[in-house]
Amino acid sequence: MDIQSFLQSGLLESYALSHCTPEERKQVEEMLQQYPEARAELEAIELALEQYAQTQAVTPPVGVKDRIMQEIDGASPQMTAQVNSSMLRLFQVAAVLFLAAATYFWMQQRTTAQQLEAAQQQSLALQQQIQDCSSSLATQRAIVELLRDPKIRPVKMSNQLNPAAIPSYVFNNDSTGPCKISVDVASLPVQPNGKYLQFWAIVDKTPVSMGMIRIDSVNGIQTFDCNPNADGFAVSIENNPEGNATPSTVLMYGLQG
Amino acid sequence: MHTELIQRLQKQDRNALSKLYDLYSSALYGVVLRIVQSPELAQQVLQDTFLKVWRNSASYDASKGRLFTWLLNIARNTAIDATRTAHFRNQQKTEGTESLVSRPGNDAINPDHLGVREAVDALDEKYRTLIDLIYFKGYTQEEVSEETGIPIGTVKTRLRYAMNELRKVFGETNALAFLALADAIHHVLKQ
Repeated sequence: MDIQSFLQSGLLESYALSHCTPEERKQVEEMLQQYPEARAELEAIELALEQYAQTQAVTPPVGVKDRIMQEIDGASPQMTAQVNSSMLRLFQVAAVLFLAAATYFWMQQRTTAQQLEAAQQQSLALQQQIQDCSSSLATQRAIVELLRDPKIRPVKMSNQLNPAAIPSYVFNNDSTGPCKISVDVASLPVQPNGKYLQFWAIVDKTPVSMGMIRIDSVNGIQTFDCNPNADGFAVSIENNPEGNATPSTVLMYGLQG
Repeated sequence: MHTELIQRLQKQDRNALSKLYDLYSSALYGVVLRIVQSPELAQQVLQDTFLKVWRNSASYDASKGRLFTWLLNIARNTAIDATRTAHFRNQQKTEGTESLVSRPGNDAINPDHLGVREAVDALDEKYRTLIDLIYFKGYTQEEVSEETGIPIGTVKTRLRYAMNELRKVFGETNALAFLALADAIHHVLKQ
């Protein structure tokens, strides 16, 4: 495009008004580099627009310039104070939140620890119960085993000190040859310290010592050697852990039917 | 031209920015005010404009145009960006479309240009609107055509004519001539 057509094209006006496409902008800038007339023309257009703009001028409030100059000088003291104050506020809020969270977690932790302890105790109690059940079951099984044996004859033992108490049994194997007498130790009343239980066979109405009853017998069943002449059995309470020649206090006795 | 002022500005001399503000803040504020329609927002836009000028001074190239044109482009774009916020749009809805071409009150007019201002005022409202929409508000010629319902070809013709007459008036800085121009523009646009 020659310079005259260019000046007439309206491109310079568009350029001054920032209405050019990128291609037009490039073309105008090339012409500006090449032709002083183009630059003079653009200058005149811009000057006219600038003067027109000046007719619309409104003086801005004084504070605007101050704010701009403060901004380029870095944060003003007022701004710094605001920042510090807001930072402080932020820290305060953060500290309160942290404390609240810490208290919450501490209480949570304490509650959890208490719950854990309670659960552990409960667990111990349950273990004990299971153990009790388990040993009781073992005793019942052992007794059932004895009852299944046709050679075994149970002897009901009446409590002499407390007739209302549930009776205990002695399981007498009356077969000839080597045999055993089983005593349901678990059903016997627990004795206070210093008191011991002694087991007797009654032969011709005379008690014959069979030995001391051991409370910690396996499965709650204690066995003694047979006495083929026994008519019945008795349990006595003794002060001597080794037992006595004759019963001191008869706790219970029963005769073979 | 402000060759020395520009060099100082590009070397980040704060006094150069201060001087630039004294020279151009009123003209830029007038334009910004007409775009955003709110003194508070206009002041913020003006502040942002000069901060952009300060940070981007290196991008100004004197061979590509006058300093004021560059400043006005930054101010106009910043103001237009500000009008795109939701807050601004909500505000505008309650004001109606007349505000599009409304002007600051007469008490705010720069007294140096009073005579010329009267001449501009004498122009028919819609011809002022043409220049105002394009030059002050950054409308494209297509947008002007859409806004006013004038065909795009007519917009281009009228604008070129108006620009030539504007140059004559301000070239002579003659208010009376401007009045004559106003008549001339009026006449041409009536055709």
